[in-house]
Amino acid sequence: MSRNNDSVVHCDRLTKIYDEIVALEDLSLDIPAGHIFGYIGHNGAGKTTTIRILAGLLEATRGSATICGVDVGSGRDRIKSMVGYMPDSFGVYDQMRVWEYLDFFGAAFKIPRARRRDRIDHVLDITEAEYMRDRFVDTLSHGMKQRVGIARTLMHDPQVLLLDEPANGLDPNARVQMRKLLRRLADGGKTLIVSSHILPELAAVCDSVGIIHEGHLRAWGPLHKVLSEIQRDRLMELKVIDPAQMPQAHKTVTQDDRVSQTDESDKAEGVLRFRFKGDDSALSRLLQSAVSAGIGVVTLREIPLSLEDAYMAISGISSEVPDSGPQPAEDSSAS
Amino acid sequence: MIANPIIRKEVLSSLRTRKAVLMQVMFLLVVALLIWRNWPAEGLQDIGSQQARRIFSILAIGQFAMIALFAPAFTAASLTSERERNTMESLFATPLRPWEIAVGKMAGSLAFLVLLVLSGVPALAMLFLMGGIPGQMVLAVVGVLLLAAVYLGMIGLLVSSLMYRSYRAIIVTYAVLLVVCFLFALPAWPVSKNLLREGGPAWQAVFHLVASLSPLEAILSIVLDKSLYAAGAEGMPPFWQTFIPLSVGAIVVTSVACLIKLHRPIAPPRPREKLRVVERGKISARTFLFVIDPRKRKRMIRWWQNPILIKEFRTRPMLQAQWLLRAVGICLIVSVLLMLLVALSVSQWVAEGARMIPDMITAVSALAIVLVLLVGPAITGGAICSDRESGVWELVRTTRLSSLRIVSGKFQSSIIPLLLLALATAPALLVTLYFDSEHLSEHWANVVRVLAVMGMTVAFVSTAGVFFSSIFSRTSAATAATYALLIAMGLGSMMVLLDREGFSERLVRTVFLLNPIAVAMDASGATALRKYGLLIPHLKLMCVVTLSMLAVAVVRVFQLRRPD
Repeated sequence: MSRNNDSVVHCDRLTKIYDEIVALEDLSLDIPAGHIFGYIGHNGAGKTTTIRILAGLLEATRGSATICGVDVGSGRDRIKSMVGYMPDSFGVYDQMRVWEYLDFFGAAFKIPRARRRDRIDHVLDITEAEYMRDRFVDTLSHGMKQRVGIARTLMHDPQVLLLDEPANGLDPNARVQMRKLLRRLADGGKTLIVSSHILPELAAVCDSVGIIHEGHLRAWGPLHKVLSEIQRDRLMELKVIDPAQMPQAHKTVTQDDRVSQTDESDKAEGVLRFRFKGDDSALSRLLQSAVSAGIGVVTLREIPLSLEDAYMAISGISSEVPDSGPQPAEDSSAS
Repeated sequence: MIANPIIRKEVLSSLRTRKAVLMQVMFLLVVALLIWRNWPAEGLQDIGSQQARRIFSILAIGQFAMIALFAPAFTAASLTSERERNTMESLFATPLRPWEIAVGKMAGSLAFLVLLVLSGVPALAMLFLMGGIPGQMVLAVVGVLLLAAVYLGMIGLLVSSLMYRSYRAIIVTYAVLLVVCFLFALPAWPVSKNLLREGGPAWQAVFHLVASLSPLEAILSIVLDKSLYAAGAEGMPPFWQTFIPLSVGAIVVTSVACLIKLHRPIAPPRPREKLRVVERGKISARTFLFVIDPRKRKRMIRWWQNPILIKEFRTRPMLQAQWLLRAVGICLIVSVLLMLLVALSVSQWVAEGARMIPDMITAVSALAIVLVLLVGPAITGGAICSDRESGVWELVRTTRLSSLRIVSGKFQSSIIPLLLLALATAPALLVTLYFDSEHLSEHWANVVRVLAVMGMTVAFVSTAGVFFSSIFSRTSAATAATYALLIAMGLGSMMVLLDREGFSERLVRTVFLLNPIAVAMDASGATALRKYGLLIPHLKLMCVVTLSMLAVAVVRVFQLRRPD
């Protein structure tokens, strides 16, 4: 895969093997500047492994990764200044107020005192956590802690933020807040890698997504492209006016050899779902044959694939997918 | 009873741990080493009853010492760790009755200690087979060791049931064990001018019973029945015979207390005040009450300050300025008051005051060292592993702090409070000088030597804490290891004191050389220890050990910071 010139994060055949377990295999991807990259996979799929390698906390067994052109293996000290990492669960100190916590990490990143003061104001402002400034970190709610965690990652003004499951355990309101915050950060020029297994979370905010399953990146690229890549079969829904016509409708539809996997679970409501492998003109012919067979068709519509469906589809067909590595979905706007 | 799933799970899981295997191996190695070092080289047939007794007593005391050192490590964290991991509540949600859970937890923690005693029995029994040791004596020692294991283990469990945090439970358990083993035995020892011999029969009986509560005294009374340290009050049975019913009673009482406590869940430590900050420059009643108001707005970390050091002082409960200053203040006042009280209460003071000054310097210096040894592990034990436990270490790794800077910050945060505490006792040393201006230069030299030992001990204890906390991943384990090391250093001398004739001069000197209390007493001019010339070799040895431990800690932190 050729390297994208304006990509900030670049991975090339990144592999991590623990004893006999392959946590990550031949991961290659590029993430452009200012993008939010949604990294999706179930627990143990390899998300955290990737993020920890990029943060310089884990050594890759094979392959390479660069951030702004700096190799994460050999340029670890420089990487530390470029990356802000927030782990899945991160510790806080007892008896420490929010600003003291930020001050400590600022000092640990060798930020001069005067600049540190401005940075604390800035990161509290951008994360809308100003009102927590004098609260003790360990007494904050989970959602507040996550925001303080993001404020901490921003202290040294890194170009790339690696956020491991930032929405985990948040209530719906806090999730909306988190989404807005991520968007604000990306709009401010940061590149974000956000992992999650809560899929709707990412669908709403990401510029591009990567779906990882058992250490293999199954698909990546702009969201809509990934969805259409995965959607080889269109999922259709036919609604008839009279449920008594369902057997006839089923017969007519299945006569078309482009139809597969019919689902009559809602036949009492006169709804038939099926997968259809064909373009719009083929679909039009199918509709025509149903109407001419005397079936009272109310609607024939395509059910859009959700990110969740895509993820489930990819997890389900994992064994059928060849291990040649994922192909990025083409999108002119992405690069 | 064995159908209780908790017992099965606890016993199996506690015996399966690496800690259990390590301790078991260490125990048997020490037992083997004691036999190997003490067995006569001439051949078994020459072993007289005198010699057999000596080996037997060393083995019995050695085994007891190890049980006492291991008991807190195994029991004090057993209930607190469940609380810390929030697993206790899910246990109580099962149909198991609370007493079944409590008994299961107790059996699990005590099983290891009992196993430890049993694994040492063959060594004791071997001496019985060689002759010279009556069978009853072997049985009595095994019985008392078993009872002591359960008794000390139950103390650990009781403390654990009362506490929320493991490392605090470990600290308190070691403190209680020191009281139970040593302080209770004190009335029976010549050190206290044998309080046991003073007063009427009722008075003597009370002291006899107090001393009988000490398992150490019980063991001593079996193996050293003719020693000054083991003689009971007149008309009373030997200590070990009174120890048996008393310890059984204590086990029952602690078990019941533990059961009651387990029935009621313990709330986590109360949340602190959330919002109020006192801005700098504002003075209120709290300013004077706390010496340093904990709510006062802190300053930002300056360029020349080590962020780790500042962070430690702000977050570690025992290092916060308001507590530290109060502790130092109390030490200061108590040490001077103690000095004055002693000076005023001694009747010969006026006439022979000058003669007593060396003794007083000795007492004060020994006390200061004991203070450092007791408080040290509590302050330093969690230096590095507490960050790993809380998960902050992962964040610290992503910062630009170097390994050296991290260890330096941790080391400073350990050594500064200990140094302050040790120095708080210094005025007591100086007060003594005031009373004897004739030999000022001589006393002054002694005081300087004592201060050198104190400084070295503080450096050694802080480094030991940082060293163990870089090796272990849990604060409780690091604290326990630091305590075990320091107590073992002290206990070695204790064994030598009990039977000085039985050991070679070289061994006695080596043991004293490792003990900072003995060296401080030597430095203060105590005549009994002068012949060993401990000061300079001790300082050199400790210097080497301290620097080596510090180097290991730096390497270890470097490893921990590296990518996994």
